[in-house]
Amino acid sequence: MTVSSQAIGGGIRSRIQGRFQRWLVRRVPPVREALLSQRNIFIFPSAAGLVFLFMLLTLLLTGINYENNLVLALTFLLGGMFVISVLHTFANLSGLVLSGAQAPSVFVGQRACFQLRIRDTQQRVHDDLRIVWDDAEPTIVRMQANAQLDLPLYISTHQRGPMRPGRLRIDTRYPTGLIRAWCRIALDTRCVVFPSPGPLTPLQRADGSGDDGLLTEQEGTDDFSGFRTYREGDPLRHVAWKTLARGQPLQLREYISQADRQQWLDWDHTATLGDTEHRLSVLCRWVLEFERDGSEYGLRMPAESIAPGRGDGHRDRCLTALALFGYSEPVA
Amino acid sequence: MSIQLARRALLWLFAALLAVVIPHLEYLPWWLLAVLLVCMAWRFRVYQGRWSMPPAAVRWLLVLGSVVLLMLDFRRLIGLEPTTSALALACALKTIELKSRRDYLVVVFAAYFLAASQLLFSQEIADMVLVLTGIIMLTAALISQHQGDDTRGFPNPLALSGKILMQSLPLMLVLFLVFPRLAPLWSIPQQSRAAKTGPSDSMSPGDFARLGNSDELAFRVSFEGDLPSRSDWYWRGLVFSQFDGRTWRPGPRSRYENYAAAGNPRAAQIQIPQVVTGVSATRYEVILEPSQQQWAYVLGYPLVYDDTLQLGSDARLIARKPVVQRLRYTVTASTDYILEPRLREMSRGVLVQLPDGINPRAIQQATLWRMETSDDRAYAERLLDWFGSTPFVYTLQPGTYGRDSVDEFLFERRRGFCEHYASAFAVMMRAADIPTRIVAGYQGGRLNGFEKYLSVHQYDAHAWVESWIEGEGWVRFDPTAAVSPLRVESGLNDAVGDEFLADSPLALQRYTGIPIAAWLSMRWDLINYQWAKRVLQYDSERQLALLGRWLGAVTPTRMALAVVACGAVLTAFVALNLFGLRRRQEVDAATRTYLRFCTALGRQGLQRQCGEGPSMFAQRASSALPAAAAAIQRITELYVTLAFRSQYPGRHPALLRELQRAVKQFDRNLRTL
Repeated sequence: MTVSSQAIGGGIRSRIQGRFQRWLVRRVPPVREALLSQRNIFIFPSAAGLVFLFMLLTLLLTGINYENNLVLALTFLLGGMFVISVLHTFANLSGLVLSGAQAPSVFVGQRACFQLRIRDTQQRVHDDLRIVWDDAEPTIVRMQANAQLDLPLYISTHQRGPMRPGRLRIDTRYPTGLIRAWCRIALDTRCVVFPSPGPLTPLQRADGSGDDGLLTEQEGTDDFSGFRTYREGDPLRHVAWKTLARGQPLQLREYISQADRQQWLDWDHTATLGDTEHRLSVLCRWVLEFERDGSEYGLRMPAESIAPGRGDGHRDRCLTALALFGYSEPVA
Repeated sequence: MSIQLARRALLWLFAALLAVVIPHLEYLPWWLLAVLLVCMAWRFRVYQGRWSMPPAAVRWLLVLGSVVLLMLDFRRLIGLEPTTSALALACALKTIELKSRRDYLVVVFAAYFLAASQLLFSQEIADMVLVLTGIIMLTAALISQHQGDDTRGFPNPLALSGKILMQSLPLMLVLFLVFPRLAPLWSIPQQSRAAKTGPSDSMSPGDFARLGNSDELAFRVSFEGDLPSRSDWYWRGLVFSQFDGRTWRPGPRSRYENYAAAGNPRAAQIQIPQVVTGVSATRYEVILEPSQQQWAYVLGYPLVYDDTLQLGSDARLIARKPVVQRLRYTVTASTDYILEPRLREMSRGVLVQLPDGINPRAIQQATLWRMETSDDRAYAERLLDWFGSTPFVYTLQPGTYGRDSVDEFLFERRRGFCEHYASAFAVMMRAADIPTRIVAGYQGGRLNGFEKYLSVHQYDAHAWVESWIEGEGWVRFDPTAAVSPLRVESGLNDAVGDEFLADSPLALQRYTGIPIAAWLSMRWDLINYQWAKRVLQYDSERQLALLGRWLGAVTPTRMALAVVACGAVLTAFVALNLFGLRRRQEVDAATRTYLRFCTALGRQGLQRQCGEGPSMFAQRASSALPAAAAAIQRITELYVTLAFRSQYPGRHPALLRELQRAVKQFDRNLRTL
């Protein structure tokens, strides 16, 4: 009986919560930039405010019982203060403009850093603002009139893919603490979370042929093959220091090696590695390895194929492709 | 939510607590302040990191010690003073273990209540000012806790707190006026330690001289219609009919009537005295200051009076419960009446009784004089004449009298205050077998020149005599008036000269001879009177009258509508002030000025076309009026900056002024062109 009622209770709760979330989405939809106003600010007595109201009730009863007009007057004064506090607390939050920038990508497990920009448009000081994003520690800020503030907010990541931070909650009890005004803004920002690099596992062709599973364009050994002129981006360890010392232009000793080959990382070649996340992790590791070696590499995923290349931009494209694998979102 | 409380917040809380507790010391034990100071000092050392929070044992010791002190001081825990003291104590003890924001709020809220409780003891204007100071400081403490330690100055929270409370004043006023005044919901403990003031329930030599040194207010009266003549301002309060040779006390009937008025079920109904009244009557309203006593003061024979009062068999008014708060009552009284045309025989014995063997000379003299006169009335007149012609001294310092106090007073020292004269006169009357009693109350009062009302002070306290004369009923005799006519005609001030309020050199009443002091004293008294009448005594009756005048008829719907409408308007006003559309207004002012510029050009035949921007219009105008081109460009530039590039709000007023000046100049130049 208890179990079933609990289940029902849980069901109702989750249904109500779901309803609330849907209502919230309708009421305060995700935006690039949000102006805090009566459209999105919620306001209610704080716990302290409720205790204060109880104290006022006691005071009212005292005034009535002692037929004491001054005690009544004081009750009304404090009641008036409570009402006026609503305006002050609201004013402390309204007129702020919040905007969020895209966060730089991180690997799973690292904390994503979102830059939140807060700007005052009402020439008012805003005091004691508590800003919380998800379960992160609240940040308490105070803003001068017309000020603009950039606030880094860190959120830990647990899953690869596009990450949208939950709703940002910004609340304040300033000045009296009797009233709490808050706002739950969904900022339209996101962060691409790369898969965490997995172990350096050899890749295998799906049909089992080939030794290391890497599809190479060129066969070769680690043999020295000659000099060529330095191009920007060439690995420094291949610079021919001796010729440089002789006063010749900067040259590179060319080897024919595994690292110099154009290589393809193919999704299909990871089929034996188990589940999707692990396969992505391994690919991620390979991308990082190749990038460190300075080789050119390409990535073939079921939906897209990235031509071989190298450099940070290329690496991020590949990692993003891995991160967004299985998500329908386009690459940002 | 455990946080380190900021230093500012702590200091503000301490300041506010002191502001709340110190005014209470008038009614509560002084050691409360000591406990508070110790707790605050300890907590501050903790903040500085010098000491640690007291261990639990110490805290318990403090709590126990304080409760023991409370018990020793009050011997009970129910009642206004013990409860308030306990609350103050709780605030003090809680400060020592302030750890979190919640503790802080608990103390502040309790202190709000504590501040308000001061008004249960006394409701003078000064009290309200003190309490409001406390409230403002407490609110500042509340605010400071949200500001934390920052660059703003220490007084900043006070300014904001004052602002918020000022903004809530109109709301308070509306609620105060319309909130229904309900009857008490349950009975409550009243202040028990307050000193009783005014005449007490017995009269010994020296009692009234003591009252004569007090400048405290007893009550205020405003008359409907004309004031009775000054010599009739006798306010009857108590009647004494038992005499033991030194002290006068109320008779048994009187004491019994006090019980009966208070609704004691074992007391039967009070017998109303027989009275024959004439046509002249007066109606007045009295606001009696709290005296902790049961008697109300009345002029004349009360015909109609409030339900809070009860008429005694000796024609005095008894309050149904001790007057612990200001009591307002209205009386219609006859000023032309015969009280008890026939004396009840059973009470006659008490009324002529004198203790045996005391004051023999007075009794002997009385018997002699009674035999020389034809009737009771003539005897009384003879006695008064004797008082008037003998060199008696009317003084506030009569000295002390021995066992035969009346003999000593009448024939030897002859220095006395009203109670000596009344007592001596009564003894002489009784010695002549005339039923006589002493009436204690007040005589006189100060007429306020600004509004027609009397203020009666403790120094107006007076005792006189009533004797029963055949055919006239009870007749008032005032031997003091015979000795010192000034006392009755113009008051104690003139009757005793330098002795008046000798102990309180700062009392304004002392200096009524100096015009500015008299004016100030009357003004201040008037303010206090209005305070008592309009604020403290604003009750359902007055409320109905007032609201009836404003709303037509007082129905719940209309009241609710009035409250909501007033509240909405007032709140909207504050909101407007708060969200001030400053920038919009600036732009609006700029636009207005620019439009004036357009009108000026319009007079030259240059109309701004629909959809033509300021710069396009400026180009066209410049080519049409090459002489004014520079001015046109400048004005347009200023306007565009003000209206569209307003990222430098600090410079707005200067820019706006420049624009206004330029347009004015431009307009003038165009006109002269």
